[in-house]
Amino acid sequence: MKNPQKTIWVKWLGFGVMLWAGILVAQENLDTTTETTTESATESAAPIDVPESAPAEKVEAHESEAVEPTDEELAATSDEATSGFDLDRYEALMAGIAVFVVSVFVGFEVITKVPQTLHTPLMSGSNAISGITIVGAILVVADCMKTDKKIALFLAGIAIALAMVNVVGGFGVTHRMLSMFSSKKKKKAA
Amino acid sequence: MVELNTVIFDILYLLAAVLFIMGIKKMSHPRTAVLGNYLGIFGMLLAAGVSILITLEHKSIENNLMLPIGIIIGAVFIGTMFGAMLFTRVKMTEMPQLVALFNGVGGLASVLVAAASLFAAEPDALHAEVLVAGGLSGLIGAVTFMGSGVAAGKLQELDFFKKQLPIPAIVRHFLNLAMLVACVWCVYAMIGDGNVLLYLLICVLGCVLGYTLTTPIGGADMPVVIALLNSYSGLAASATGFVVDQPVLIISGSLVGASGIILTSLMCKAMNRSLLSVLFGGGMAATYEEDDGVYATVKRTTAEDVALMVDFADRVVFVPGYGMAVAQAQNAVSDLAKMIEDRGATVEYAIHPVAGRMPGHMNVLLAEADVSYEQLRTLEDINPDFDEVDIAIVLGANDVVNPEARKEGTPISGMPILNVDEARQVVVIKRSLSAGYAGIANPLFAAENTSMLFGDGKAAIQDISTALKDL
Repeated sequence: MKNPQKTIWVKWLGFGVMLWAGILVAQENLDTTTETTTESATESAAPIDVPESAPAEKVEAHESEAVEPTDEELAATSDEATSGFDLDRYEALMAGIAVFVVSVFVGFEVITKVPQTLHTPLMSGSNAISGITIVGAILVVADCMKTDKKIALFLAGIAIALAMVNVVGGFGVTHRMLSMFSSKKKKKAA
Repeated sequence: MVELNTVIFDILYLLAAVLFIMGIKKMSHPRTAVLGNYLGIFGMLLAAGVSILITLEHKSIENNLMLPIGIIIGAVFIGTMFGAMLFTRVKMTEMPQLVALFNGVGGLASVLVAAASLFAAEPDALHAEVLVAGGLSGLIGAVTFMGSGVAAGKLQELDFFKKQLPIPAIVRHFLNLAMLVACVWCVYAMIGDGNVLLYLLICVLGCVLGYTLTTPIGGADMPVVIALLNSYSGLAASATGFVVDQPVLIISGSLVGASGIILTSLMCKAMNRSLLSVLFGGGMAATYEEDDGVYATVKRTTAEDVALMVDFADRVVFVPGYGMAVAQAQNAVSDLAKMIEDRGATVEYAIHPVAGRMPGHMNVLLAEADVSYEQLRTLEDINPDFDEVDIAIVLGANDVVNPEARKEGTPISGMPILNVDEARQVVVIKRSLSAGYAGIANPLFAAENTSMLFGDGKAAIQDISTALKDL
């Protein structure tokens, strides 16, 4: 890694988030007695496959570094809250956090290779990708119907529109910019 | 028991996330970047399509299909219209504002998704981790929304956003901290009694925080702010992923977050400032004593003389700065460059990472003006070559070419600069000798090999072109 400072910073951020989340879950589970929750099965296979999409072995090295403290953390918190601990929820949360941390490292690996020339299209393109909230917005609509919450439905509708502005505008403007970047050879051929 | 459909949908979501990663990977070269963008679009269509399919399958809407589908289609239509309008109408010179605006829209979308999700959920489904994620999503999203709004307003040069807060910096930091603490308290309170209305308070606090954090920052620090807000919009999406329990949001959001963080750190390094000093310093103060003696040996030149110099040169390097964007001189520069090339000289562009108001700003402007990307050289790339450059034409750049950065004890000490002063001859096109953002004098302007061409950037370049034509 070219920039060790950056890596350490993110590692601590990830660690901090995990610590906080772990403590919170543990606390809540100590307060309330055993409760059975029906987990939505959407989590399933997704997190496990992520490291495979990592382009370089380097990522995996970093990932193992980053995950190690997590395991200690996991052990510590589960010792704390052995009674009435909701394992399904805990695992789902930890899987989500692992996905988050690993994706940040994958992102670092992929994005450090983007040249300065393309930094603006990178920003607008990644901005379009952050319009992925449209998935959340659409899925929430069904939940709103289930509990019959009109306000939530209204909010979800606006969220879909905003996310769509982000997606269409972001990808569109990225395409507009990228098609302006041309090389000399191409121009001579044209 | 997991249904087969669920598995298929999850795999398709994962495929969308992989497409995003591959798309960004293709951005590593201008040749493949367009394809990368298409991969991103495809991934997004896939993800949105799967979400609609899941909604259609949902048991709760079997009886009442029209309302949810109507809302989804209507909202998608409206969003598409607005998005298409924005990206087709906006001029390339307004790109920084547009990127800032899109960041803000993304942040607001995250806020609303988390809100809808929290309000729609059954009370016993609101676990601690969902509420924490919701709180994060609301806070980060609201900060992004308001911060981007302020940034876009500043870039558009609206007077309203030029005002500074009438609060001393120390008090402001204290208030910001207090608001953060209040947000954390809100999350704890929500976990305690499950009152999701506190989420609204978090959003309001986030908006205020976004305003107070961004308002004091301006000018040349803008690239850092935009990159950071870009990162926040991703992190907000990621937090929303935890609320709605969708790994695809977590992956994509953290990708964007990582991209923004990298750009932020690159920008900070290019200014030799820490992120904290940009965020909390509120701009570099012009405390450095300006020495009028520096400019005693300044030489003026005319467009005709510059044309003569250029005519004898073999290697010409343009050094554009924010001034080029302000004067909208990129097309004039590109025309002049073509004339110089036709006379057999090579032309390159030396681009400092923080030139302009967002990362890569100069590159986009020059690309629009039909400059090929092979001619755009980075700081590390061109600096060793400057002693072989016949003429360096500095256009609207100041601090990034100031040799004072190599000395100790100036506000820009240690900042990497373009070694323009090593070129055989330097022409600086500038309106006046006024200082740049750092507020310090630039000895380059008075150097022996430098001559100044005073005037508007675009007009000056066009004058040189005319003079060159007449030779």
